[in-house]
Amino acid sequence: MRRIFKYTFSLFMFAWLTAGAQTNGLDIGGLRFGFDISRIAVPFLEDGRVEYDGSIDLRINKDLYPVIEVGWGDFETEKINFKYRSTGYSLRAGIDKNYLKKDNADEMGMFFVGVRYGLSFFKHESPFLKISDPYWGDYYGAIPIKNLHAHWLEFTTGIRVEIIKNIYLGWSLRGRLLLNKSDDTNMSPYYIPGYGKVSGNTNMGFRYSIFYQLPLKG
Amino acid sequence: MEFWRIGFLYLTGFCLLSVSCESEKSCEQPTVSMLKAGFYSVQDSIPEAASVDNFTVYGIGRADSLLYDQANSVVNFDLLLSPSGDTTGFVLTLGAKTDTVVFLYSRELHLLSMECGFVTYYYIENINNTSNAIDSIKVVNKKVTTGDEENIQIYL
Repeated sequence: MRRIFKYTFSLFMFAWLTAGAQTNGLDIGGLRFGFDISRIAVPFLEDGRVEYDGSIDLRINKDLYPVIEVGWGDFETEKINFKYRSTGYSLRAGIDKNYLKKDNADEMGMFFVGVRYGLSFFKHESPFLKISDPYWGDYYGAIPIKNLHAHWLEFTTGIRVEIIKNIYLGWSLRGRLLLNKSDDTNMSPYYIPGYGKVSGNTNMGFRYSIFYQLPLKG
Repeated sequence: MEFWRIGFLYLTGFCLLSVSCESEKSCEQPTVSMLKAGFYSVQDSIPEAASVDNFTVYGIGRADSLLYDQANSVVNFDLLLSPSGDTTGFVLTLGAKTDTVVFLYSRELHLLSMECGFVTYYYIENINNTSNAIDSIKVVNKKVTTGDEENIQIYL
C-alpha cells in the first residue's frame, strides 16, 4: 500500500511538472523564504510543545512552485504516572500549483493547492514512569531514548498575499496521511516533529507564515 | 487583487477562530495485566473445565494479603505478577490440599495510551509447581496483557 502511495505521488509530481513545463515553459521567478509565525503561538496553546518551521519556494513557471520546508519540534508532557518526550527534525518537499489568475507572471500572490512528501528523524523517551501495583508494590522505571523516523504525505491548500513589496503573508491548511513510522515495542510514537500528534493515520494542521521574496528573474 | 486581499483577511479570521482545542480524554480500557488461569480435568481424554471449592490464594511473602479467600465454585481466576522482579510465587489452597506455583517470566513495559499510561506485559518462560492437588500446568498463551485471553490451564 505504501509503495502504491509512493509511486502515485512520484507520477503525480512528474506529470504535474511536465504538464506545467509543456504549457508554459520554464520561467524561473522569485525565490521566497518563509517562516511559520503560527508556531510562535504553539507553546502558549499547549504547554511543553515548541516548534520552528521554515520554507523555501521558487516559481519555475507562471503557476508552479517547488517548495522545501524544514522544521524542528519538541514535545514534552507530564502525566500523573509518566513523562513523555519527543524531539527532532522534519523535511518536507513538494510542489504548489497556483490557481489565482495573474495579470503578469511575476506576481507571487497565490491561491494554491499542493502536495508534500514529509520525512522526520526524531527521538523519544519516557524519562520517568510508575506502574501502580497495590499488591506487590509500585514499580518505577524509564524508557531510554530511541532514535526513530517517520514519513507521510501532506496535501495542502491556502493563499499568499503580498502585503508590502516582497513581503507576503499566507495561511495553509494541511491534511496529512502517515505512511509509516518506526516500530517501538515499548511505546508507539505519540508526537512526530513536522507531522504532529499521532492518532490513527491522518491528522490536520494549520500554518500561518510570513515570506520574504528575493526578486529573481530568469 | 483587492478581492483576494479581502478574502485573505476573512479566511484568516475564520481559521484563527476554528483553531481546535483538545479536550482531556479519560482512560477507558483495563490498565492492569493479569495472568488468567482456568481449572481443568480430563474426562475420557477430553479436557473439561473444572470447578474448585474452598479456594484460597496468596503471593509468597504476602501471606497477610489473600487474593482469594475460601472462594467456592471457582472455574477461572486472575493472578497479579510482580512488576519489580522476574519471578513470582503463589500458594494455592484447593479444598484440603495446598500447592505452590512459581512463575518465571520476562517483562516488557508498554505504553497503552497517553490517558492510561504504562503497563507491564509479561512473557511466561517457565512454571515450577508442587503436585498435591495439581496434576500439571499448561501454558496456552505465554504473553500476559490486559486482555481477556487465558494464559494457563491448571489440570487437577
